[in-house]
Amino acid sequence: MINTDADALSRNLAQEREQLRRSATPLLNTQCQHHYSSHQIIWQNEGVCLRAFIPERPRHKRPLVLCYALVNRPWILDLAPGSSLIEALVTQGFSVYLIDWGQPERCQRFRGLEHYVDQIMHACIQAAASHADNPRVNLAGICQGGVFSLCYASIHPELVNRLVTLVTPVDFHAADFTLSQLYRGVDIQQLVSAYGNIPGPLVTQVFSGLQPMRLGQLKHLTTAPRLVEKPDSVAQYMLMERWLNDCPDLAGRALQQFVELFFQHNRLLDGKFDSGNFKVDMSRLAAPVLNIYGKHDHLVPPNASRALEQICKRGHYQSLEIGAGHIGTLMGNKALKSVPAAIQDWLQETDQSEP
Amino acid sequence: MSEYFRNALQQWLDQLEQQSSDGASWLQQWQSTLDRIPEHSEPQAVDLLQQMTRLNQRFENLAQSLLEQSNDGQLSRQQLLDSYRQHLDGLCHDWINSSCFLPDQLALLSPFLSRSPDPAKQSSDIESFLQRIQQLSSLPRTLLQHSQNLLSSLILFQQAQHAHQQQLSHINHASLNELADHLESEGVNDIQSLHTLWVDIFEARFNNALRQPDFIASFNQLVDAGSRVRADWQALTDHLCTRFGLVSLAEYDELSLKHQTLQDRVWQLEQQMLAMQSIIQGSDRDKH
Repeated sequence: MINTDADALSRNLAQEREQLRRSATPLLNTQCQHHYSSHQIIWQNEGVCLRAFIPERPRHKRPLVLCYALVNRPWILDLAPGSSLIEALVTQGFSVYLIDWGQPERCQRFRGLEHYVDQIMHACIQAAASHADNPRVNLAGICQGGVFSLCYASIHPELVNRLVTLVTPVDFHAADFTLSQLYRGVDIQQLVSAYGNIPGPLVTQVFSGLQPMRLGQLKHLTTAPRLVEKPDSVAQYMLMERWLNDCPDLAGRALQQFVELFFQHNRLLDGKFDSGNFKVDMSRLAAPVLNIYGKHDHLVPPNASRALEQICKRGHYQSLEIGAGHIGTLMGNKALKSVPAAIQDWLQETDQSEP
Repeated sequence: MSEYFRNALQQWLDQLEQQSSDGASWLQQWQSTLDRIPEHSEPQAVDLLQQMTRLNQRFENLAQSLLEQSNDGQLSRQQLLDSYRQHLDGLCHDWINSSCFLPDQLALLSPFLSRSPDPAKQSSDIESFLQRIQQLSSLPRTLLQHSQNLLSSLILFQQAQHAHQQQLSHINHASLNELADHLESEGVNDIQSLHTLWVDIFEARFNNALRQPDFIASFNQLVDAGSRVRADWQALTDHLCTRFGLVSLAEYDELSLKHQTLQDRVWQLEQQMLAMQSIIQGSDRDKH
């Protein structure tokens, strides 16, 4: 038998009802459109654009290009004033350039990794270098964008001065890399053939399905009390919800190549690999790397990320562990205190030694 | 969100506040109000409220049933397990059915198919069903073939769905027993801690299952079966488009592939030209 305190439970339920009722009005009355902080678009083509965030008084000569993943939107890096990695980097005097991959149309379903990395990313990096009037860039890749950045820095070592990877998977067969284990066996060719581009809402479900009870149930049950206790947090909460559910479709061919190369065959650790016209030789990676990962990241576990050391030249690898999860490492309070400062210190080493 | 909707909802909330405090069915009322929201309203806040309300309603139903069964502060282990299992079956059903596997038109049909279909029997049923349709309407053989493929893949999807739901039920069962063990020693005095305890126990077991070959296999089968249904549905739609003289998605994709191939080829040629220009410029510099 289980002892129950019926009166206390009834009071709890009444309280929950009241909190839910009280949370409705602020939720429905809060505007939560996202607006990037001050910037200009300096390059755009077929739905992709390069956003330039230039400080009033730049303190670093070299442009810092941020390459986000194709999954989800890059505006998480500039969520709101005070919760923005980009804002923090600009405050430190960096000229920041953000690659915004946009939303692929159905007719772009055959865009492969060679199109994304060799063509679009290359055009963005050339545009940033030209805008900043500097022949080489510092590159920072986030999650899948980190994989793209590693590939790009190997294809064009002459253009990348230093590389920062954030929450980037490298060993896709790491024992605790659940996402990889779960999707490795899916018939990706059939999936892509059936959908064309993989719908964003399906991708969102993939991520929330890894912690279904916590993200699908507990979160929604605890939202009302949280918002009632902290009414000031409603706007940011809604913005975060908007971001979580704002995943663009994924170009079919690029996703298929990514899953086959990395999820299924773990080729990043092999050194040399190709898929169609996409050819990468990781031994050409010359840029020193700062690898930042989340200690509690359940999407890209630390082991999957730390493996990057294996493909960097000796003495060219440094790492920083943040006590946060996947998103927290990009824009959580702890991260915003330490990540921009770490990036600045690390990049400054070479910037100061330049003529 | 439309001003009209915001005002209507606000009025309704005000009315609720003025009503008596028992509020027995107010969550259901609210749910049904939210269900009637016009589609053109800004979706995000409404979606969030719907999810919060739906989960609160489900959870309240569970808690109420526990309270009703609680006798003089005592609840039997079996009563708890039965109530919670019912609650969880509803949740698992939501998870699987809310996925984007099936085209909308077919998702509507899904509940009418058997939950645990017998593949052999259903295949022969489909065969005879389609034969009768053909006798009645003289459908072209190719169209019949596409329809048969689609129905067969729908049955496979139902089987995969059933198999995966069983995997989830195993996790629920094991988690519930662990929860009951905890509660027998600690009791239930607080809804929030009950819920947190449950989520922690479930997530630990679910996370463990995510690494088990059986679970991964059933999940992969579910995804593959879903994409197969989608592919067969598209093939049928393409076939109908072609018969009616319309451009099919397959034809559109074929053109898109040609366009992408040409685009990539142009880029390669541009790179070659740039490389040649740089060689020529280099040799010019050497001459001077």
